[in-house]
Amino acid sequence: MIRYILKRLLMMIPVLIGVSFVIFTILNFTPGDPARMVLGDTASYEDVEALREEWGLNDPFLVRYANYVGDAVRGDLGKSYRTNVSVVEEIVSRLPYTFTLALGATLIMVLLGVPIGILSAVKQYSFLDTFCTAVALLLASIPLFWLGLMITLAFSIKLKWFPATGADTLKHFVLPWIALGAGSMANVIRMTRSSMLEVIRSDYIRTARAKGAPEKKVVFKHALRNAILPIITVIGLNFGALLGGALISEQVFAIPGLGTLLINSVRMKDAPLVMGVVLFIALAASVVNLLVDLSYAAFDPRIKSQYAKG
Amino acid sequence: MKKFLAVVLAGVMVFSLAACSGGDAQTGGTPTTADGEEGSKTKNTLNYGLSADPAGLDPQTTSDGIASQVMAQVFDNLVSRDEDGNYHAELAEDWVVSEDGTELTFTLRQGVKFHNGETMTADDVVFSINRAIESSITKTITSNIQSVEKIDDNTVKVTLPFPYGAALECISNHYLVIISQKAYEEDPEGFNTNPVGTGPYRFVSWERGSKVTLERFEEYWGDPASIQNVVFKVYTDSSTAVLAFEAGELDFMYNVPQVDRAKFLDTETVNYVEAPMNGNAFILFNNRDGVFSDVRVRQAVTYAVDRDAIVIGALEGVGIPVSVIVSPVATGYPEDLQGNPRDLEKAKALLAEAGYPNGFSVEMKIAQGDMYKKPSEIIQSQLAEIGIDVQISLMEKSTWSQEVITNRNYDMSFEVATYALNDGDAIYNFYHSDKIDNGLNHVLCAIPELDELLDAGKRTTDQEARNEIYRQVCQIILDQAVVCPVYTSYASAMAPNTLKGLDRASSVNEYNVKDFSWSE
Repeated sequence: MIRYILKRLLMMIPVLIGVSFVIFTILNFTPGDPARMVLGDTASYEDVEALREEWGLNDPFLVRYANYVGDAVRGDLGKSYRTNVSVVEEIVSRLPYTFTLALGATLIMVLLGVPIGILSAVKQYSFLDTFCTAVALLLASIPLFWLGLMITLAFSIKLKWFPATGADTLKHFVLPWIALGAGSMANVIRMTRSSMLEVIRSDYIRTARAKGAPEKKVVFKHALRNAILPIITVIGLNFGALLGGALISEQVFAIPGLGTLLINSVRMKDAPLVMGVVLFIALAASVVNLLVDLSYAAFDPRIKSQYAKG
Repeated sequence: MKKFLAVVLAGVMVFSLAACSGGDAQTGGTPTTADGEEGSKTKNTLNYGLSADPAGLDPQTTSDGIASQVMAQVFDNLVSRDEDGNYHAELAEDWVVSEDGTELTFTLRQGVKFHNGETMTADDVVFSINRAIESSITKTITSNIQSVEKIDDNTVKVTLPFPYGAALECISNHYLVIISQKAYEEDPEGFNTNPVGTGPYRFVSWERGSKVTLERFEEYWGDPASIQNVVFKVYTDSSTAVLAFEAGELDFMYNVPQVDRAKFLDTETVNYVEAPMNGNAFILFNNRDGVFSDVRVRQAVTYAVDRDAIVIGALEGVGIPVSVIVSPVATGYPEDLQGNPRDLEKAKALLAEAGYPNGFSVEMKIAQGDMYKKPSEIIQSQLAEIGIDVQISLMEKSTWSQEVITNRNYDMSFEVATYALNDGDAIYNFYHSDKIDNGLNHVLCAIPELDELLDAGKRTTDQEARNEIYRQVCQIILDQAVVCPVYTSYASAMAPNTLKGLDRASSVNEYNVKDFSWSE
């Protein structure tokens, strides 16, 4: 098992190197000069050149990439061109916000989405089932931006229950959690429902019912446990995506998270910051995937033994 | 049937929620405070909206318009300029210009305290101005200042290479504020995130991406500010900022989005002000290479453009059509100069003379954003009427900057320029032939009479004479159609009625919170 984990951790390294190379190449070949963006349109040509020299922007591409990787493995992701603050510091300062946002939205996804999905599956073809499916479809179709602004208008401006923008207290996160959770919940509801339906038709469920097991035990101990793998995959994928920056939510609710950091640095051609944030997202996604895979082992002994074999 | 019913119910639920809350917002949200929010409720704080996080707070290394909002409260100049062009003593009590106009001697105010408790000395003044002279970011403003030196503890002398007409304008520019030399030298890197000045507010904290907090400096050399705390909050999305304003979480916002203008002008409880900006929007031509190197072709465009239609179409009427390149609020604006009236026949005749009787096709490179796109599309349709087929190429701002400003690889473009200096001399860098190779003359114009006039305007200190010189400058640019100015748009700002002191919008988007107060 440990060997499996170590193997997976080692595999992350080529992934990160690949991601860094692709992003670096893209940044290098897109037009737009970071030195000019920092100095402004009114700066003279020589000053822009001087700054480019200082940042090593005129060195050949591979030299710059090698320098970047060399520094990165020692933990130095460079400094933002725009603000001169270390990239690591910038990312760390935004992490709590993005994390809180992602965690809260995921909890809503899980605590609301899974039960609704189970309910839908167990009471298939009933009014409740159709209602829940319709709601899921609606939530999946509503644009996040519009939903965010609408619930702000309703719950913040009209009812004054929650603050409209900002990220100071947990109360500030409630509306963003609802907006984000609602959108991703739809996926979870549908996946839970279809996975449960598939399992419920199996022979062993029929056997359990025939043996007289209480319905609750049938549903939760037998059916859910077998259906859970795809559900966890979807939840894991959604959480990873949220960590990557729930950009639209952050913009609508003025939360200074990673998504906003990323888009602003792309606009300013702030290469070190773009690289740093993208690498972080790649790392986070890889770790989340690993955790999801490990959780398979926790739920399914067959998989656990497979991992143990290495 | 059941399925249909469920969908309908769900739809009704969502739409009713949206409709009733949407309706309220349309009638003009009264700024009220959601509970749990400190600030305007206690009326000792002003929540000031910014559209992006400042890049830094060091006045001589930050060119960011956002950061200057914050720095305007933390720092002072030797001399300040008001919206009408008059100069007032700030850190300098008095100043004297030498006979030949090349020396300005400032008598410093005594007993001025920095936020760290130190007293301001002539050394701090010399240090700060030298930084501005040397920094590559501020050089565009200070290139005409030769040196600064301390005469004695109370006096500082600024030397110019020639009698520079816009000297005081430079001194009052936000790049030439006075910082604490000691604070800077103690921690040069940290000064950018912990500025120390002499202004009415002192820096308290900066949560990156979120907010900057300032508090009133009790030992300010002038009258202490009325409002105790200022919190600059960052809203990258303007609709979010407007929502926050309606919820009472934001008290002051500048550059209000166009779509909300009508609503807030009508709202009784909101004080909405606007004023023309110090800058204008214009069509630029590559004067040296390509189809627009022929003056007749450029002139044809100026005869084909209908400025009023563009102001109505792109700005919904909120703008001033202009034919000259100096902004209406700059010193030296020639009020009487008129551009060419729209005359399609004349335009077509000019084109035919230049060898394009059937018009031609040309690419117009512009940066993304409604600010550029809307006017360009109207111009495209207006030029189509004289046979010029304009192909609009939209690109990202940084790409546009590189193509048009740095590489000069374009034929025609649309630009909205604001000038750092509130003076006719601001255009020197853009239209003098010397500035083609090592400056910002990206229209590539080289007109000897124009060069002479621009040099003269820079070196004359008599304001009457300068007004006449810039009048002639505008006339030449008009005659030669170097660029085709279209309009000047409005800067706007708004706050609840209970905030006193916001009488007019600032043409340069800088506001002094020390002039504001809450009326309760």
